Amino acid sequence: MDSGTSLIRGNTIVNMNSNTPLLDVRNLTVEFQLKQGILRAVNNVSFSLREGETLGIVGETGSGKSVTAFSILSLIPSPPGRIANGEIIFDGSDLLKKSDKKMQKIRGSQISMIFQEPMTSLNPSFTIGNQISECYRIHMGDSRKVARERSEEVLSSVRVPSPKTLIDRYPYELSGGMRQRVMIAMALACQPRVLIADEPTTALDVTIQAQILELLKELQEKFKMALIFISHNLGVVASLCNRIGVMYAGSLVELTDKKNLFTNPLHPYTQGLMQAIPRPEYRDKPLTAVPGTICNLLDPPSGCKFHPRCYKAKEICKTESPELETKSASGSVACYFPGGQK
Amino acid sequence: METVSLQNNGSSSPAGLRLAALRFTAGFQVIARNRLALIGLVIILVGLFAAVFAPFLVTHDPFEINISERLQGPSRPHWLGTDFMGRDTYTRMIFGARTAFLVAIGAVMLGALLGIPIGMFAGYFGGWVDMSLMRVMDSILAFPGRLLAIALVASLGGGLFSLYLAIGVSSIPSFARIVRGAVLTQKEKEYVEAARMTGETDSLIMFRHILPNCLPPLLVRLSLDFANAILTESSLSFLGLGFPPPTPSWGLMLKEVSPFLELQPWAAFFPGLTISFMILGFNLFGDGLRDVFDPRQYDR
Repeated sequence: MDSGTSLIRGNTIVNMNSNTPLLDVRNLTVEFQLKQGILRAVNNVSFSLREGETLGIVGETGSGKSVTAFSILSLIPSPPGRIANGEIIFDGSDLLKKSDKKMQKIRGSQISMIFQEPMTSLNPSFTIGNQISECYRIHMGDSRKVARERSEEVLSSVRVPSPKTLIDRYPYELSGGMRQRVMIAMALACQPRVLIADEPTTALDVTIQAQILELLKELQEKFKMALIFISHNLGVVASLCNRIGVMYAGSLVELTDKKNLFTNPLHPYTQGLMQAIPRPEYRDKPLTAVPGTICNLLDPPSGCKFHPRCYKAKEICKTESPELETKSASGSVACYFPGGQK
Repeated sequence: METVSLQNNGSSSPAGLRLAALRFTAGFQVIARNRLALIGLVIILVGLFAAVFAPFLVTHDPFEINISERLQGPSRPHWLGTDFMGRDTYTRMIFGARTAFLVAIGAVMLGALLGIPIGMFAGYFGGWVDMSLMRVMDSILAFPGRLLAIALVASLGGGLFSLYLAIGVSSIPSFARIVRGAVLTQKEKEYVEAARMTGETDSLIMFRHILPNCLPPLLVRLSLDFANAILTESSLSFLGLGFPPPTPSWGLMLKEVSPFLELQPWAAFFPGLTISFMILGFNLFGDGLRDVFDPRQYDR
């Protein structure tokens, strides 16, 4: 039996008009009110995603990747978090203006997410089947029995061995890779149109990582979902995504296609990242690191946040902060002096 | 295997049942390995058995007065002797278990039913909800538990219902605090985020997802609170605030024979021993549960 075809249900067959974006994030700014002051975790981030497209977001720890993802699902803990500005247009309407009730309907059924830690993302008190069924019972109103059948189907689509026995297992009885597959099955359960994968492979072994990436790629094609893939691993992102956004200190500094990013990075930060990738052909030379450390977001530097670490910072960089501007057909960058290698 | 599973699509496939049975025995073995907990469990079960099957276990009518046989020591017709009105101590002790469990179950349930949601809301929502709920709990805690129970019973009058209220109310804060503490750690776990991502409502997340994971400390508390409830009921009855006289209650039995301690020490000995054993049983079991739920125990 081909479980794939039977999984595609009426409500997910959508018009493939590729001109209007499915998800459009505009000028998103997220702030956290802390005791020490206001922390701007995401600053004026804009990007869009079409049906079936894959967007990678890379950046250091604390650069705002996850916060961006959580904002899309309106899962920012508030207080202390607050979406200070911006719009998140999904399928023609602004998610930020939706009520909690409406968002609950969208989460899991239209937009879904895979988390970083498969070890803790499953509820230890319930069986796998129970947790996947939840989604069907909430969003589709399925009975226990139907939900269980569907859970089995979706489990077999993430290629776990013997889904029929796995369904009665508790999370502690599974390995990390298995749990991540279960998490993916959970996220895919209701055929979301957008899947956000927040560093789904970070906690896994390299071999399992490769399998999971392969699986994600395959499932994305099969279910025609749009995928936002968040990672700090450039190699992983490159293997999966066509378009890649680079985040630094809460801002999107460069958004371009894969080829451009690796052959002709425009932003000095991206250039630095590329030079920091170990390459076999330069094995005798020391790796070039980006000097300095990521800035303190509670007290960010004035102007362009990267200027204290930038090798070509000029006066203007210290006072003015550059906007993300389109520089070529496929890429845009937020820098006054883009391009050109060191 | 294939065909079986296709026909049986309910939540209990044969393989699922076998797994469940395996997990149950594994869990029981962990408790059984802890000797003291096992002893506690046995004491509790004996008490519960006596309470449920009291009429079938006794030798006399618990209210039958026989003045000519008053204050006897243990003998063949009266296994544990008689009290100051010649009633059979053994019979009254068995029925006393019924009273004790009735009060304890009701009171602990009341405490848990009010305390758990209070702790859950306080821990989950935090902020001013937490502040206000927990300050109310603190103000209840400010009174010593037994003193509060005495005050409540004194103002409400004796009887089952006021005992429920008196003992139950004083155990609300302990439940609330335990649950709140557990929720504070559980709500930061990623599975809560994952549940929210699935589109679940706050109440579903609280009571379906978080609560089961708060069970370990809660069960320990439950067991210890049972001991406490039985002790409080005995104390109240001993003070004459609990059940009115003919009721077979351990505390009351102690009280009734205490003036005759020099004449017939046995009459007070057995009710006193029963109370101690019951309390010991619940405490041992509670401590045992705590050890079982402590993951460091598994290494041993």
